[in-house]
Amino acid sequence: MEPMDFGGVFPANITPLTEAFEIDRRALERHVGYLAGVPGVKGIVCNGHAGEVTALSRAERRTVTEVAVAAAGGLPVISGVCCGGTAEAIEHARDAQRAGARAILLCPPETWLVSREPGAAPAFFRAVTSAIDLPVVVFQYPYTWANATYDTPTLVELAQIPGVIAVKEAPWEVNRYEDDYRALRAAAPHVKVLCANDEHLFLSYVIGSDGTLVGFAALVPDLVGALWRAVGAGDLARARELHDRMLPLVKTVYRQPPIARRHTRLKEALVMLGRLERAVMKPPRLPLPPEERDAVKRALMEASLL
Amino acid sequence: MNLHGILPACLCPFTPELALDRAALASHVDFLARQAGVGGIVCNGHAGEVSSLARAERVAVLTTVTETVARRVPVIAGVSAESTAEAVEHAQDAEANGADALLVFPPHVWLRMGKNERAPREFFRAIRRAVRLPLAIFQYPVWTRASYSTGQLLDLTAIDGVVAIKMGTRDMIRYETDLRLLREHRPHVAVFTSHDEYLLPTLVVGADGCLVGFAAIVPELIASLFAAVQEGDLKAARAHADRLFPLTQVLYHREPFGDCHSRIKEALVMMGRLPSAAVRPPLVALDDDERRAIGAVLRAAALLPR
Repeated sequence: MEPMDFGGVFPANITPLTEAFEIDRRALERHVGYLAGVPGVKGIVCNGHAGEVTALSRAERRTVTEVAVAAAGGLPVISGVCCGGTAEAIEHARDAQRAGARAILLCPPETWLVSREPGAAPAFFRAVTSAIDLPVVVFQYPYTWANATYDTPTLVELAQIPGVIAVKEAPWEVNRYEDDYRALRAAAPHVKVLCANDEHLFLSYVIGSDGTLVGFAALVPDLVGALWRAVGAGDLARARELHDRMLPLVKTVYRQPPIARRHTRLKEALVMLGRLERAVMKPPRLPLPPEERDAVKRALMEASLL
Repeated sequence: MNLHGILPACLCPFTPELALDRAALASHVDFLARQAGVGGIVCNGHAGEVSSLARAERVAVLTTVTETVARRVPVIAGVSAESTAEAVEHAQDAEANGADALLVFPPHVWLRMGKNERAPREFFRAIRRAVRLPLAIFQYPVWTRASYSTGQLLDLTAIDGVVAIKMGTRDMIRYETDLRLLREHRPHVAVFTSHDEYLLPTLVVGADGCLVGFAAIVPELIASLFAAVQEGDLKAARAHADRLFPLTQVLYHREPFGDCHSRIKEALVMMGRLPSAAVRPPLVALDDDERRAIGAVLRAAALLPR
């Protein structure tokens, strides 16, 4: 299998649903097709947090991957694997391979959000990588999810496991992003660092990245791509312009408490942009309150998207 | 008063017996005042171990600094006290002894106890009534209870005589939000980044300069970084940031963060710029491992005397 080209945008896609809370296959196909056609998009991620993975059944996750692969026009699809334990993660990874995914995005097992034993992370990653064929992208969680986030030495250790090809770097903080980025550059230069710092894309790109894999790009793949390229070209003025344009939208989606609504806001925005028919979320997530819908609309207008 | 550029927060040298070493302080500050890009000297700050200095010693530090600097650049005196009455005394001392401006610390009791919404305004007003000197606000990290909200920052900067902010926010969205509001509503207020350990991102967002202890050891490197960002030269800025990073790591990325000034003193001794690295209790001396690590970084960065 030829190595994936990570040098660009990998939108972490939302999962369109019907009114009956089932996968809306047609809408998913349409949305993936749209994303795949945006210049600068190098692949699609499905079954991530923006895709509400933890609320999807195993069968639904398979369906999402199959539809995404069929609609991606040959671009690689990376499927999130977000499970409770090692055995389940391996099963889901094999599902992803059978469905045509080119790699998996491996989330920390859920219990680590509460507490994690020393040594458990490398053991988990070794167990999964040695049981599957697909390469693995490490999901570095926000630092506020303290026990499920990897300290820099652990992250470097994970990056050195055979089969690991990239890190989705989402510490939600700039200082930690830099520490991880530099440490990975120095100790695991073959592993791609994919910026996923939704709120801090501009500054994280300035620090450095090999590509960008992020939920916000499911909403504005073209702007995120342009920002990433502008920083890569050293064009600070252009980058600042794009950042300024997106900042109100970033703050509306990611900063307004409760952040449990961040993916709902993404879907609502997509509805307003005409790319989704409805913003239905899997329960327990609730519909977005009207005043929040207004805020999303205002932010889209400020970004000259509406 | 037009504060701009690099404002090093100077160290406070002690003899091995922990007395103030005024000669070493003069030599230290003279060196800083001579560096291109330095727009002022800050004394009696955290880097100057202000909480370990008696009232008379803070005056002694200030007079040594003002005599040495001899008006080459403005001298800003830290005012750090637990009560308003004490803060006023220190402020009056500073005015009587040649300070050009004051850097007002939040009372540290706020860190543990929180503060009434109205307390910061009253605190600053009391100081303003007592002295005619321009005032700079010290903004602490957002996760501390001594940090000022966006509303409070706008409130405080509306006070006549408040001319600058040392922004130590450590949350890039808040930093940028506050900066934009200040630029729009308080254009006369100079904003200095206080993010020793991640200067580049804050400078890219925007700042009138850097007010940091880090500049007491490598003022010229930080001045180069600042200039590169001002010129929009991302490539050069990154090169300077790359050069700074190993030093940032060894000084600021180890726990506890609070030993950073002990580390800077050790580094300055190794560089031949301070005679003693003695710090006042409750700070404790660094262990040999740390000293070796600092020495190794200085050697690799060609900062040790030949």
